[in-house]
Amino acid sequence: MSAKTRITALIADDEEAPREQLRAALQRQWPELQIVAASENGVDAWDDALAHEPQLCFLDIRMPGLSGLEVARRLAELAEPPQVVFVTAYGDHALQAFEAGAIDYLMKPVDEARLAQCLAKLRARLAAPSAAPGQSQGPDLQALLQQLLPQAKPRQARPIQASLGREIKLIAPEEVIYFESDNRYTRVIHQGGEALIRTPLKELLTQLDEAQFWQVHRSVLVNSRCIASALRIDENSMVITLRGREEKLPVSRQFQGLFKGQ
Amino acid sequence: MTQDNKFSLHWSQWVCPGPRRKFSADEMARAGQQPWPKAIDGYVMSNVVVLLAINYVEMSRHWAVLICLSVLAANYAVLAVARHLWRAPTRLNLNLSTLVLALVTIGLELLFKFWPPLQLEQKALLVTSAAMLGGMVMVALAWWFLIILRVQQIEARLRELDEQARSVQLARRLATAQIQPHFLFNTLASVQHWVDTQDARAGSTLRAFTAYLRATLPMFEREALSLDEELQIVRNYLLVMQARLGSRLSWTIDADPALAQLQLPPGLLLTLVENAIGHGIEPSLRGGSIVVRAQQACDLLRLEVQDDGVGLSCTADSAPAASPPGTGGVGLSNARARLAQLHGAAARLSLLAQTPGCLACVEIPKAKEHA
Repeated sequence: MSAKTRITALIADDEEAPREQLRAALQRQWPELQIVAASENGVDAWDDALAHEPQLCFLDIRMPGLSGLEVARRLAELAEPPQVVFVTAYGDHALQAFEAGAIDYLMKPVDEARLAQCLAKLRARLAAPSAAPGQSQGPDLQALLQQLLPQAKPRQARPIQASLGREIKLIAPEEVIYFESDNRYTRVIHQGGEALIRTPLKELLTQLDEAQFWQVHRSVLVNSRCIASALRIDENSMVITLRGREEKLPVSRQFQGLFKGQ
Repeated sequence: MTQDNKFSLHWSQWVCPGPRRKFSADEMARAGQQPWPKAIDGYVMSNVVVLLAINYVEMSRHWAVLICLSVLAANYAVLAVARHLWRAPTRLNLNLSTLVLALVTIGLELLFKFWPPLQLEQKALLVTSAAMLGGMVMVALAWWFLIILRVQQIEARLRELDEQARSVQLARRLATAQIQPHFLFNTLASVQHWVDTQDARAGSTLRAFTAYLRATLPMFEREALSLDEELQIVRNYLLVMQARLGSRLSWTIDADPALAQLQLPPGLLLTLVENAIGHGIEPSLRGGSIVVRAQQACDLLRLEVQDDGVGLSCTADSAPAASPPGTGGVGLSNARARLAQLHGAAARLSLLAQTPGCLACVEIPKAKEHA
C-alpha cells in the first residue's frame, strides 16, 4: 500500500436502500473513510475491487452474479487481500465463525453501535503490522469460506456466440486462448482467429470454469492450458507468454500470486 | 392400513386365533387410554343376579347359597379378566384367558363327577355340566368380541391421530416456508433507510408490508382463500419488492374478474410469485418482469406466473422440457398437496423452463370447481 493517506472502502449490495444506509452510517462514524465504489451486484463488486483496490470491502451475501461469499473467496486470493465485512439481512449461523477471525459481519439494517464495534476492529487490524493480513490468515479463511459456499456445480461449457456480420459463430470455450476487455465489448482470441462479443468480461467470469480460465488482469482472462510461461520483469511487473503466439500479456500485481513456481 | 382389514388367514391363526395387530406401549399410551366402561360391570352383574333369582327355586336347598355365591365370584373373575384384556388387548392374552377358562371348567366338571361329597345324581350332573359349558362358551365369546372391538377402536383412534398430525404438520411446514426472514429483514432495512432519510417510499412500502403481513400471518389457518384475497396478498408483496428492487423489477397482474371467488390453497400464487422473484429476478444481473395471469380456457381455469429472469436453466441447462411433478422445493410440494386436497387429482401445477425465465402454471378443471 503505497502513499494512500485515506483508507478506502467498497460497499456492495444489490438493493439501493441498504447500500445507501450503510454508506450514510459509515460516513457518520468514519468521516475520513473514502468510499470508492458502491457496487450493485457481485460481478461489479469484484470488478470494482480490482479497479480501486479498496482496503475494506462491505459485501452483501445475497447478490446476483457472484455472491458475497464468492467475491470474498476471490478477494482472499489476491496479492494484497482487503479486509472483508459481510452484510446480511438474516444471520447465517455459520457466519459467527468469522467474528473472531479475519472477517466480521453486520446485520441489516445496520445498527450504529454494532458498526462502531466492527470499525474499531477494522482500524486495529489496519494499524497492525502488515504481516497480519494475507499469508497468516489466508488458508484458514479459505477453509471457512469453502465451508460456507455451496458446492460448486460443474459448469456446462456453453459455446461462446459471436456475431460476425450476419453470421453467428460458435466458439467452444476450450478453443479460446484468452478474453480481453475492449471498451463495451470483449475480444475473444481463439484457435481460429478473433471475435468480438457483447458479454462483459466480468460476466464471463461467472460462466466459465474457474480452474481453466485464469484472470491475470482486470481485463484479461486466459485459458491456462495456453500459457507457456510467466516472466518476471521487475518487482512489480510480470508477463505471460502463450503457446504458439507472439503476444505477451501483462499480469497485474494483484494476480501475480497465481505464478509461484515450485 | 386398509389392507389389514382384508380377510386373509395367516398360519398363526390356527395356533393362536385373534386380531394380529399388537400395539406398542407408545401406541397404547397415545390411543388406548380410554377408561374401562364401568356400566358393563353393573349391567352384567345385575343380569346374573336376576338369572340366579329366577332359578333359585330350582336349586336344592342344601347348596343354593353356595351356588349363588360361587356364580357371583366367577362372574367377578370373568369381568376382571375382561378389564385386563381391555388394557392389554393382545390375542395371546385372549387365548391364555380362554385356555384357563376351559381348564377351570373341565376341572369343575371332573370335580362334580368324581368328588364323593357332592354325590350328584345323573340328571343333576347333566344339567350342571350343560350350564357350565354354556356359561363357558358365552364368556369366551364375550371376551372375543370385546377384544375385536377394542383393537378396532384403538386402530381407528391411531388413524385419526395420524391424520390430525399430518394436517398439522402440513400447515406448519407451509407457515414456516412462508415466514422468510430474508424478506422481512431486507424490507425492514430498506424502510429503515427511507425513514431515516425521510424518503416518501417509507410510507407506501410500510403500508404494503403491513397489509401483506396482516393477510399472510393468519393465512394458513384457513382451508382456502379466494383468488381475490390471494391476489391482494400477491399485489402487496410485489409492491414491497418493487420498492426494494426499483427498476430491476416490473410486474403486471391480469385476472379475469369472473374468477374472483375461485377457491385456492392459501399462499399458492404467493409461493409461485416468491419463487419467480427469488429464483428468477433477484439472481439476475439485469432484473426482469413478472406477469400473473388468471384466465378461463374452455374447460379449464388457468393461473400463470411468468418471469423472464435467470430461469430454471441456471440449475439444469439441458432440461428445457416440463419438469417432472416431483421437482421443486418445499413450497411447491406443499402447494401441490394442498391443491390436490382442494380440487382433486385432476388439478395440476407445473413448471416450464422458458428462454429466458420460467412459467409456473396451475390448471384446475372447471367442472370440479362448479360441483
